[in-house]
Amino acid sequence: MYISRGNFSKVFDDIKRTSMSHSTCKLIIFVACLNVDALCASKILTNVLRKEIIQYQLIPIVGYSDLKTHYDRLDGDITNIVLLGCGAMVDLESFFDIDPNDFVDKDNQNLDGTFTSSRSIYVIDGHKPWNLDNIFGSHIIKCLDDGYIDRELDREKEAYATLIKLQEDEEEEDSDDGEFDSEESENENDVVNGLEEDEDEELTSSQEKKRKAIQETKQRKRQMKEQERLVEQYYATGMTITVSVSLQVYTMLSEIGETNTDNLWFTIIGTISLDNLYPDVYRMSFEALKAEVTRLSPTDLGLSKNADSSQLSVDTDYYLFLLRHWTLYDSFFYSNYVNAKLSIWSEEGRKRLHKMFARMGISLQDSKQNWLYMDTNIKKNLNVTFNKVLGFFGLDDLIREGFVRTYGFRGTLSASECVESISALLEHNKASTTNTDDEETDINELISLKEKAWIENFWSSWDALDNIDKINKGLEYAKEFQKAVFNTGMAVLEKRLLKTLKIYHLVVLRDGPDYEMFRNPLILIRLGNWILESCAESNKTLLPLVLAALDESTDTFLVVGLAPRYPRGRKNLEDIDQNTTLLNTFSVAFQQVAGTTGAKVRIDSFESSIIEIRKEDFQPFLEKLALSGLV
Amino acid sequence: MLGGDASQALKKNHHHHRKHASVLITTTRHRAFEGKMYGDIANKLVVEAKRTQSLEQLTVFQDELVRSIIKETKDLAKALETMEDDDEDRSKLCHQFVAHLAMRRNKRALLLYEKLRAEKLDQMVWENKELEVGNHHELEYFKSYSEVLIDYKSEFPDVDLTGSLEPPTDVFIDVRVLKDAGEIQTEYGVFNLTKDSQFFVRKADVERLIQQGYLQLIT
Repeated sequence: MYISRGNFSKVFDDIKRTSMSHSTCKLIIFVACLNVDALCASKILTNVLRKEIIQYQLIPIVGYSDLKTHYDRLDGDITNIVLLGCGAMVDLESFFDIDPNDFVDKDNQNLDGTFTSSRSIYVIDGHKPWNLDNIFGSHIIKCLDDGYIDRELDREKEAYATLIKLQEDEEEEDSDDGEFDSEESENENDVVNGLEEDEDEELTSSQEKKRKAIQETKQRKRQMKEQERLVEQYYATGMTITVSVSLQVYTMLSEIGETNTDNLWFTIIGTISLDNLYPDVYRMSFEALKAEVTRLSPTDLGLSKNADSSQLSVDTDYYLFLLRHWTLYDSFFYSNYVNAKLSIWSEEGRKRLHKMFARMGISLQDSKQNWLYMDTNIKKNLNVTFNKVLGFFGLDDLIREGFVRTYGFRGTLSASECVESISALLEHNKASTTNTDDEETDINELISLKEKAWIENFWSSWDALDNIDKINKGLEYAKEFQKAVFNTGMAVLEKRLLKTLKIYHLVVLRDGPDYEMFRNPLILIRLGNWILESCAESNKTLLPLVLAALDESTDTFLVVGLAPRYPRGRKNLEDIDQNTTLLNTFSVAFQQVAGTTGAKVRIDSFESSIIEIRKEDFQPFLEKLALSGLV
Repeated sequence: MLGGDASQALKKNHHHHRKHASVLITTTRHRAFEGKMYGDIANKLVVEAKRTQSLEQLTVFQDELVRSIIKETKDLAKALETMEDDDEDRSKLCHQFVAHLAMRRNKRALLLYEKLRAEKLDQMVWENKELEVGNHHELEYFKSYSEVLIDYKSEFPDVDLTGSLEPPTDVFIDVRVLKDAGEIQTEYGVFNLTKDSQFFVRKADVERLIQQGYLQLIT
């Protein structure tokens, strides 16, 4: 079943009621590991639970198989399970092998005589399409929805209901058919017995019955096919994210009146982390977030800066990379946005960048100073200078509104910078070199090692969320990664590794100075993002991107499919019909192609457009994908 | 500070006193604590009492010391009895005065020791602790005090009189699991300690596991 906004407070009350006990913890929270949004959401949720003194266990989860093993190991008396950032797209009841009868709560009878279940699984996930069995079929699975189901899925709901009804009818009919047959044989006996005068009548009536039944089944089959087609179509449209998980949790908080600055800050971080891949999510929720900020953290109280203030405010933000923590020049140079608009990866682009600095009246020497030590006059006039010059270079939208948090005297941080830091901490690979000399190691072992590192990263990011020192460390990693992404991206474009096929762009990374880094899906997506933004500017055809990186230690390719991107900027948005969200269709395509080619593929990630595939199967897989026409 | 002369005089005085004491003891023909002042043993007991005051548990009863003090006191009393009363002999009067003072001081030291121990015993009854050391009398005292307390408590069945007066802090804490430990049975139920997960649980339940290194406290 699904729960719409407005009823979230009831969800929390239910969780609270059934989890409060003097015995052990009855609430399990599963969090998708490599996901900043889910991380923030879990942070918010646990903050509230702690306040209400509800015991919980929090388990970060790498992928589907991990989720299943952890679920199987749970105690029988766990009453509530919360899935953050995962689970919306699979039929959870069959995935977990749940028999609804196992969890019937005998002590708790509803008014209509049915029993409530003693276990509930709450799904808070922004991935679409929803699995229809989750939202319309099960009573154990409870999905928190942002209004999308009521708004968009009326037809699917109907189709699902009729399908279920038809299936039930058919089962009933099957048993009826049995009776019918025996009746028939009785008739035959009658015939043998020579009761001829009634024969005609009976025959005609039975024939009529038969014809009617056949017609009915035919009609039913037709109807069923129609509805099935509708449902299939629904699943095949492609994957996207329409709402951030942290915003959903925050909505629940505001319904129970538990909002505060900390939780709002995490919500902002979670939401803005989706900005790169799903710009719509942030754009849609920006106004609401802004209103919350002004409500919770009024700025014009005349408070001067002091050591304890951890104020949140709406401030100007730039599409520049870590401006407050790097140099002005580098933040321009490594910014995805600027790079895409000026194509800095080429010699000409760099010249253009230098020209721009000249026009702004900032010497290159000044611009290469660390932001903290840069001439204050330049800093003060930055907005004015930007406004004067940027239009000329087509960078009008460099300045946007963003959120900034003050950490007393220890510095300020904008939300987008925080996201860079946190995701860098998730990407950071400490143990990459330790195991490379040991050739003998099993693939499974290597995979589990890799996943262990991810879980460790999850916790260091978790700790960093409320520790500015650790965030600063993350910022250093982020710079490193961004440089690597830039260099690799530049190599891809210069060496013409980007192949434009009929229905998608393809990049395959086999070597390069930093290519080992790209074994982590998050960094690979970072690179994909960079390439896509460049593509969006240089050619206007909206083609999706398939990006693959070879991992020699396991002889597998990590493959990411990314949806095409509109070029950024207000002007461009006016041209294009804003209502069409560009969907990621690779999730379906990957699965189908893998199924038809019999390639050895591991589809475990919660982002279904990320797969791992054996080296020798990769080429045929690509060929099939290109021919399939699924994308 | 004292000048050279003054300290010299003090020393002399001291010496004189000591001579005086030894005279008394030799008269009673008991040389056990020769060379010490009256009240030295009592002082030892007082120091001992002060030391044990801050300890959690009751210490072993200082049988030896107590007996020596009593003996010293008795000896002094005997010595006084044998002494003839003579109001004229001022030095004799002085002897008697000093002996009385010493006896009184011994008595006070003994009483103090017993009082402190009794208080400790009371406290232990209130805190519901087991008595591990203590002599026969103390055990008896402990038992009867417990009975008195139980009697008293039974009048207020709704109030836990022996409960802690300190309001608890940090009843619930965040812990992260460092090692797989399987199922752990606690006072209130079962935990499934899977590595790399985080718990928010009652502190009392997991305190031991933190010490053993299975869990890490998150602050």
